[in-house]
Amino acid sequence: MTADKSARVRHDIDDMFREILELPADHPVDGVTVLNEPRWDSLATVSLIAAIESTFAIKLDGADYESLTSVAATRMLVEEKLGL
Amino acid sequence: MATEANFVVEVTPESAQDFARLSGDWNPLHTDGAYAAGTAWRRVVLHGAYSAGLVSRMAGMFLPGRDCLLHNMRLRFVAPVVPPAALAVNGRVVADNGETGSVAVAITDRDSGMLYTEASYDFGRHRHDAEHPAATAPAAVSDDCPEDGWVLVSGASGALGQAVMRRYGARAVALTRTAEGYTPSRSVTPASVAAVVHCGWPAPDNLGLLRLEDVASSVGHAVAKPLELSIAAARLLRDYGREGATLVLVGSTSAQAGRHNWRMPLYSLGKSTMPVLAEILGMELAATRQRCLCVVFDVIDGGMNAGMSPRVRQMHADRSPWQRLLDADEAAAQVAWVVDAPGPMASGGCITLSGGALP
Repeated sequence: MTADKSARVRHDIDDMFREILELPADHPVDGVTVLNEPRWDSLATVSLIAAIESTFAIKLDGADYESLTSVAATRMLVEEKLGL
Repeated sequence: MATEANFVVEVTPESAQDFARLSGDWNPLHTDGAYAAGTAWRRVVLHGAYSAGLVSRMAGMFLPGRDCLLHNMRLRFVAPVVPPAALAVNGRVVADNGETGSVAVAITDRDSGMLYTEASYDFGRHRHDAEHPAATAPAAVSDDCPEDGWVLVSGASGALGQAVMRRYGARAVALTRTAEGYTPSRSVTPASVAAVVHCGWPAPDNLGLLRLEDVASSVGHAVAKPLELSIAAARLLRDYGREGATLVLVGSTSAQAGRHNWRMPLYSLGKSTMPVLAEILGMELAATRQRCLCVVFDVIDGGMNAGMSPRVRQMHADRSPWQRLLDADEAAAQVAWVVDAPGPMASGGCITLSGGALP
């Protein structure tokens, strides 16, 4: 059950990144980081925070923002917040 | 006279060799690694009597210090010391009538707290007919200084300190903490030291400044004391350094604006003094034709960062264009590069070697 939920969360996060970074629907995002994706700017980070908070009904604080450095780190942050 | 004193001594297998040379006790359990490998401890065990020397140091240097006349000493070896280890030596006065007194000493493992030796001694006081300063560590004679000079390393048990010790091999000398600052773990002579690499630093806090329970104590521990020890490291360079010798101060990107949301405020404050200190000491050490440089690193893998969570590790790796953390041996190589920077003008400055990591 937890594995299913975890997979769904990851799927949602990946889609979130594709939408915010305007990437093709089938674009792999595993290796995407704030440093290697030129479309990931401060506006994208703000959009990401808003999307995460509304999609997963969680609240991110200032200390969490610094974890938004890659898709992988974002997945770990959200899973941690959701207790997965 | 103080009623308590403590110091830390880092011991290595070479410490057992040094003790054997002094005492003539070459029992293979202490000096022969191949023999020791066949025993229950697998590695050489430090002579129990090494502790007697540490107790003597407590008496002659601290409790009561200069005026000491040691009457007797009692030792109980609770556990064997298998180097390398950092020994915390803690002394406490249990009686003192101004003429004679008694002190209890505990020698424990600095990191695990395990008790190695219980000791006590009684002392009297000798008289001297002239004013004389308190006991201080001597500039003892050494006749085997390497051609390129010694490299003294503070914080030699930390990740970066260990890597610097490895980097310099036989030239490296660990510095041990004393009540006044640092003392080399082996004797060095004036003009024999090529560099002092100051890696020592207290573990980072994570408490907001407005939530500190005892501000004076916290600031003393995390800001004032490290600054004091940095100055002590500079004095060692001045007193034992060659012309052109270099003091390397280690800064941190945690002290740079925008970093970490200031989540380790006292650590950041303490480290923030290093670049300016390098400028000041660069000027002062020029009087003895010596140099000071500050090198700022990003997160180093291991040591105080060994316990970071996978998410935090990922986050720090993501901040780096190289997608990984700095390895301690890489950092030590960069320290060596800074030490080898040519000319007197390579002083008074600060260089950030973060690999271009984001703040």
